[in-house]
Formats: sequence, structure tokens, C-alpha cells
Amino acid sequence: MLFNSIDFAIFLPIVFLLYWFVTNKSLKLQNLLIVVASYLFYGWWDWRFLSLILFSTLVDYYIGVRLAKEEITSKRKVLLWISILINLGFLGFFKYYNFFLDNFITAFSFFGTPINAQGLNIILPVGISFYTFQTLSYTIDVYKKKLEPTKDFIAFTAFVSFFPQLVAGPIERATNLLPQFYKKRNFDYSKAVVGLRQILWGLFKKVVIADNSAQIANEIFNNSAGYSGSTLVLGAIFFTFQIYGDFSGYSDIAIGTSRLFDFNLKQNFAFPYFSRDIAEFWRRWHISLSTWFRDYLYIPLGGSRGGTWMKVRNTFAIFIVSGFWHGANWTFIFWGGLNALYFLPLLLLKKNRVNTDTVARGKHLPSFKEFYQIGITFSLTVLAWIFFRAENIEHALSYLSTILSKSIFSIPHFLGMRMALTTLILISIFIVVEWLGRDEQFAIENISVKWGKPYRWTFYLIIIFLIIIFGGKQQEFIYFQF
Amino acid sequence: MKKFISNSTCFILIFITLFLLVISYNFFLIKTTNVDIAVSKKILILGDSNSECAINDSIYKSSINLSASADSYFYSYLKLKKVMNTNEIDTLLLSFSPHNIFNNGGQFNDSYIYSRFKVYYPLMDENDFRFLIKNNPFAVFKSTPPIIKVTLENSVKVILNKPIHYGKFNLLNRNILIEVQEKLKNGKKLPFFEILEKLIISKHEIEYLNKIVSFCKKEKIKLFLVNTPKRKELLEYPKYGVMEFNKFYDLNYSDIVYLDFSQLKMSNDFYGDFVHLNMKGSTYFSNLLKNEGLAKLTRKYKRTVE
Repeated sequence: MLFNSIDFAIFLPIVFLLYWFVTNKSLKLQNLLIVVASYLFYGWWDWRFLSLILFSTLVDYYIGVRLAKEEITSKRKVLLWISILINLGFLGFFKYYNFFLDNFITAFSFFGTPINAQGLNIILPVGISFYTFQTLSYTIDVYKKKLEPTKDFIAFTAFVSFFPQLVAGPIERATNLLPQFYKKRNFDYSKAVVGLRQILWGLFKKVVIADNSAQIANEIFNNSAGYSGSTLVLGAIFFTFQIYGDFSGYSDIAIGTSRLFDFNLKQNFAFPYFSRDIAEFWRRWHISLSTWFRDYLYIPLGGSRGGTWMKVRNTFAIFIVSGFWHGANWTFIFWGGLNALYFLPLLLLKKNRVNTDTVARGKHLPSFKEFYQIGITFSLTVLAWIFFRAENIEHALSYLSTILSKSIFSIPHFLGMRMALTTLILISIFIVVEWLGRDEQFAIENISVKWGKPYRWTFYLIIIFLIIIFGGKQQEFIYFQF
Repeated sequence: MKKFISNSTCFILIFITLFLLVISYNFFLIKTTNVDIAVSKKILILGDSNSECAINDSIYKSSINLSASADSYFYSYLKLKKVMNTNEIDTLLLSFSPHNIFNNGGQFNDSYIYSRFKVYYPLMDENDFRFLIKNNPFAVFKSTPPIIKVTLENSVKVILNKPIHYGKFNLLNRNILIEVQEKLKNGKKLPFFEILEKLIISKHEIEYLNKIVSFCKKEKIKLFLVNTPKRKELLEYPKYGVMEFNKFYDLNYSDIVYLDFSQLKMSNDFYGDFVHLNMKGSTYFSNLLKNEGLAKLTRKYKRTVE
């Protein structure tokens, strides 16, 4: 079920009413309702893959229970590895099987030993990368004794399948989310209102910014051979806003929806395009994934401790694995590697934690230096997104070579110029609103809060009508494919 | 919780009221805005992309082409009623090909209704609404939000005194004939045209075709069913159903003139694909209509019942 669909607009109020009016007397019932609603939400797309989530849930629940009883380190390690192998095994099969097979065949052919093997027609289960990482974090934390294993199967099932963040995150840690299923939830008016406001802003990002940008970016990327360098630059910029609007919009809707049920999810995006360097960008972009890799990969590998070589190795490891997590394509690996290259100088010069606060806090505008830094960081990001969006490495390189040709000085021209102009105006308004709210969890968290009700409601109605009027053609969320 | 529910309900009611106001405003805007057609144009052309791309009304000057891609007879009927409110049309050329009849309920697809309802709902009467709602109520419901955008566009058009279009001649600038020939040969999906697995007569299309026929009789409009030129490969493809289609006509509509131009000899470069004429093709075909006239063409191309 898509967040930006009528189906969800009907589903959410029904679950909300059942949650607070029918099952509110019993925590178990409320958790059970979340499980049923989550399975329905997921099954709306393809019910067959519910068995995968259920299996993953059973495995990690059982291993958690066993880890609680087991004191011998070697046996605990075996249990941990069983969980890792099963979870990553599923992920590997559904997501990476054909990729490895293709590359295996190519490598053997290159060395003169052609082999004949057929790829499988595998459907990627939506959200597998997200819930796999979420359940893995549970087992690892239990193994490290950072978390008491749960004995409440329904609570654990609800934690794994919690519908607001099931298919595209934020990837929640068991230490943050699971305990929330144990305690009684109380309806909090202010929290629910903030939640609704966040859902509204998330929808604006997705439907107005991302979906409109997507149509232009798709046109330019899909026909890049026929367009000038300047047009391709525009295409990359539109994709930059598409992916941000799409993914951060999804996260906003997920976090906002959770608030309606008295759950707190972690912030996943913190205005990354206002970052002054790449290190800051990565502290603000897809925070739940970055911190996951930091805690479960980067730090166990040694982090930024050790010599220069270790730092370089660990940085590349985390960025490349993060890139590969996004999809079974060399473009994602290249995208990760490129970001590692951006990040390394800052790490080696120990400047990776220079910009940790909000840019131009307390001021209306950034200083010239900040503006320049934001511009450079944004440009580097746009460049990297070309690899992320391209069909393959050749496509990305030819895209870049056209950008670097003389045609970059020509006036952009492509199918859908009028729409692009409207979208640019909408993006400009969006940037201004995001800038004004950059100190908050989401841009409109505090805008209009102190206004009188008629003005505040008018503000909400304007956003709703903007969503309806300027909503682009409905597109799936990009991160569903990851 | 009480406060939340009451505030939410109140907000939703305000929104729904505003929304209904916009929908109603657009409804009356369209109701009161005429489709003005030059007095010299007495022939109306309606139908899907076949007629949309085939007849250039700036060449065939006595006609006005209001066909639109994928229009089913339901939408053609709505347009016909709207046009006849304020114009004196004496002839209707209606696109008539196998795919118009053997259509497995395609006009009730969610996406199809989504693309049409926002534009055409002000042209519908109670029966038309009932027809749509009976067949896919959810799609109708889902298709209402885009009306706000259409209202905005229509309002601007009315202020700027620009006409509101329901279709027009489309000068097709493509040639994918070789591609579609290959695809048909290999049994692959064709672009811009769908060949259905089974030939099932669409009772919904027939219902509205009959309404068009009755309307024409009542208004004394001469109705011509027109099958525009098509490629031989498609006509000979069994799944396209030419034989069944002709039989269907012979049995049910033989009292209406059917001009079958489907086998009109035209060179390859007159086609955009199997069923759509391109710029060259439409110029040729429109000149044929203009120069020969409907009476002469009727003698030459009218299908005679076997």
C-alpha cells in the first residue's frame, strides 16, 4: 500500500480508530492490531512475501530467546551467525543472486572460460533491506547484551512489521522501538497534531516535489543521448530533488503516522542539502542507515582509530557496502566509492566534525562562506547522484562526458519544459520553507503553530490544495526497490 | 482524544465543503460555457485516436474534429450532446473499428477513468454518472481530486477567453511501422495499440453506440460509421477480428452507413503505425474526404451486407 494513495487514506483512519477506541484497554490487543494492520498493509502489495517476514520474525525471536539462556560464548556466536546468515541469505538471494551470477559469468568469460548459466526471474520483496537490517540489529544487540531479549512474541512481531516504517524505514533500532511496544501508549493531542503536520509535509515532498521532478528526471535520463550538457545538468538536479522529496517525504509520513499511535521514530533526514561539507551531509542523509552501518560495521572494523590505512579501508568499506545495500548494480557501488572519496580528505585532515550545528542558526541567511560551502557540497552530491540514477556505469560516464562537453553552455531544451519551469518554482518555494524550518525535525513543525486557528487551518488547506493541484503523476517510492 | 476527533472532523468537513464548492463551480462553468463551432462547419468527427489522427479539419474545412485518443463511445456521446446544445451540425462521422467494439471493459480501468472523469464529468447527466459509478465507483471517487486542477485551468481559459477543448485533430509525427510489424510478427506487445486475447463484444460500448444512434435519429443528424485506413498486416491478423466485426455490423447496424476505408491503398510512409495515419496519411485522407464528398464516397466505400 502506498502512503500517497486513497487506499492508505482509508486504511489509516480505520486502524487509528480501532487502535484508540476498540483495542485501547489491552496492550496485547493493541500490539496484535498493529501486527494485523501491518501484515494487511504489506500484503496489499503481495501477500506471498508475508511468509518471508514471518519467517525472519520467527528466526530472530527464537534466536533471541536462545541467546538469553546461552552463556557459552562460542555457542552464542553460532546463534548470532545463524541469524546473520539466514537474514543476509534471504537478502542475498532476492536482491543479489542475479548480480553475482552475471558478474561471475562475465569474469569467467574474460579469462577465456565461458560458462552457461541462466539467471532467475526473481521479484524483489518490497522493504526486505529495511526489515532485515532492523531484525539484525535486534539479534546483534541481544548478542552484545545491550538489550534484553523479548519474551513477548506479539510485541516482537509488531516491532519487525510495524507498518509505518516497514517498507522504507527509518530503520529503527530494537533498543529504541521494541521497548515502546511493552509500555502502555497514551493518546497525546499535541503529538498527534505534530504527527498529522509531518504527514502533510511528507505528502507535499513526495507528491509535489518528488513526483514532478521524477517526470522530468526520467525524461532526461532515459533520453540522455539526445540532450545537451546543460539539459543533463538540469536532469541531475531534478533527480537530486526527486530522491530527497521521495525518501525524506516517506520518512516524514512514517514518523508522523507513528506519532498518531504514540510511537517515536528517529529523525531520518535533517535538511541534508544545507550541509556545508560531505561529512555533515552524511550525518543528515538517511540517518538511520548511516548510523546502522557506523555501529554495526564501521566501529567493529576499527572506525577512525588506527593508522591512515585503516581509516581509508574502513571509510571505503562503509561507503561501498552502503552503496551496495541500495541495489545490485555497479552504479550503486560506484556512488558509494565516490562518496568515500569525497569524505576521506575531511577524515584524514580531521575536519569531518567541523560542521555539527545547524547552518546559520538564528540568522535569516547564510554567510557568503556558508553559501559557498553549501553550493560546493550540493554540486558534489548532484554529481554523485548521476551514478545512482544511471542505468549502468557506461550510461553514467556518457552522461558525465556530455555534461563536460561544450553543449553545457547551450540553453537547456527538452520535452516538458513548461512543466520543468513550474516544478522549479515549486522547488524554490520548497527550499525557502525548508530553510525557515531547518532547526526543527521537519520544516513546518513550528510554522503556523502560534497562529490563530483560522490562519493555521488556512495554511494546512493551502498545502492540501497545492498537493492536489500540483501533484505529479503517482510514482512508487524509489526506496521501495531497495 | 475528544478534542482531536472534533477538530479533525471539523477540518475534514471544511475541506470537503471547499472541495465540493470547487467541483460545483467547475460543473456550472462548463455547463454555461458553449462549445462554439464555426457556422460553416456542419460535419462533426468523433471517436478515438484513429479518427483523431486521420482527419485534418483544416483541410476538410466543412468538418470539426473533436476526437481524442482512446475515447470510448461513452465520451463521444457526451461530446455530441454538448456540441448539439449550441451548434447546428447535420452530419456525424464516428470512428468505427473492431477495437471499438471488442473492448473488454477497458473504459472502466482506474487509470482510464482517472484521465477522463475530471474533464468530462460536467457533461454527464444522471444516467451517465450512474453508468460510470455502477461499473467502477472506486475509480470515480479516486478521480475527483484532479478536478481542482482542471477547475483552475478552465477558469484561466474562461478569463482569457480561450476555448475549452474536448479533442482535436492530432498531426502525428511518428513512424514506427517497421517496429510494430516486427512486434506483431513475433507476437510481442504493440505500442499505442493493444490486441486482446479474446474477442468479446463490449456491451458498454454498444450501449453508448446505441445512444449515439438514437440521438442522431432524434436530432436528424446523418450518421456515418467510419473505419479509417489500417495496415494490411493488422487486418489480416486473426485476433484483430475483422471478420467478426463485419458480421457484427451486418447483423446489428446495417441500416447505418458504414464507410470502410480500412483497405484504402496507401503507401507505407503514410502510416505512423498500424492504425494511425501520420502527417502524410492524414493529408491524403482528408483531401480525399474533401474532394470526393460523402455522397460519392458512400457509393464507393459503403459496406454492403453480405
